[in-house]
Amino acid sequence: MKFLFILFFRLTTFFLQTEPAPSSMKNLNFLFAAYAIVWLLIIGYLFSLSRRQKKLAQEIEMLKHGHEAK
Amino acid sequence: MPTDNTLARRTNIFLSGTALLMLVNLYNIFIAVPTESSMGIIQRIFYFHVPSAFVAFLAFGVTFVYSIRFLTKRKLWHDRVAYCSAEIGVIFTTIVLLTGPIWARPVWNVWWTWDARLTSTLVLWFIYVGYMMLRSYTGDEQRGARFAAVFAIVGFVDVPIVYLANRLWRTLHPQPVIFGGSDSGMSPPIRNVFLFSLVTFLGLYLLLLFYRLRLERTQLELNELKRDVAYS
Repeated sequence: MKFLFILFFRLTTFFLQTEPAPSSMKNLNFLFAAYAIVWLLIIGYLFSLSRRQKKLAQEIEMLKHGHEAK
Repeated sequence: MPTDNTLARRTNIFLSGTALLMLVNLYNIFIAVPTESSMGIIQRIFYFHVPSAFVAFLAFGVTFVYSIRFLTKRKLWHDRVAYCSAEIGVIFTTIVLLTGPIWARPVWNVWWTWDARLTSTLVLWFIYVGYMMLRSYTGDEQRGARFAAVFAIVGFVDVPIVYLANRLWRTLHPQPVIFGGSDSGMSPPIRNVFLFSLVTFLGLYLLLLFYRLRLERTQLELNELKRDVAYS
């Protein structure tokens, strides 16, 4: 819990840098940046797959309806 | 053949399972595991950085196997599996190449150094980005798939080079902690969290591959439908 508290504290003061970090919490900004990048990449890729899937499904529906209408 | 509903339910179970594994993994990494004594909290990047590298190797391994299968059996679906796996491998290699420098900066005092492990990993990334570009630029599907398969098989040579780089040459990158020498290894809590993270990333790879292959199947269905419409 102490770690979570310090994480929250460091994130809220990320831009202000008002307090020096405790030695064990040094480089928390780097850790935060690394995990943010990982999540952005994974979620971004999943989102792009889902968007492409929806687009293809819509195209299939359109073609099927168009074909049936003929 | 499973119905659409069964397939959707299975997909949801798979997605929920992976999400749950990831949540437990995050709990392990940020709360359960003790902070490593020499590097401090920055060492926690290890639990995403190393499993990402392992999964990238696996993804390129799948590309290698399916490229061989495509060349021997000439089934286009094998080429599609190889391509999808390579795409996911590139995502995980990108994670490795981005998290590595962020870890290196506070520990080595540099973002990047041209040592054997780092350079061979960057080369690996370029090889598979090149593989994907080759696929996009070749007009004829069969010919493009053939070229790409050969390229993927030759390119896979770099995977063992990356793995062995810090064993064969002197590098700034840490010496191996898995299957390393007698003085290597991890303490039990760190090892357990690492292994759990590895399993989680394996699940994530399978989930991404599943979604990517589903997309590929839909694309094939659309192509077939377009052909039918054109001929009718």
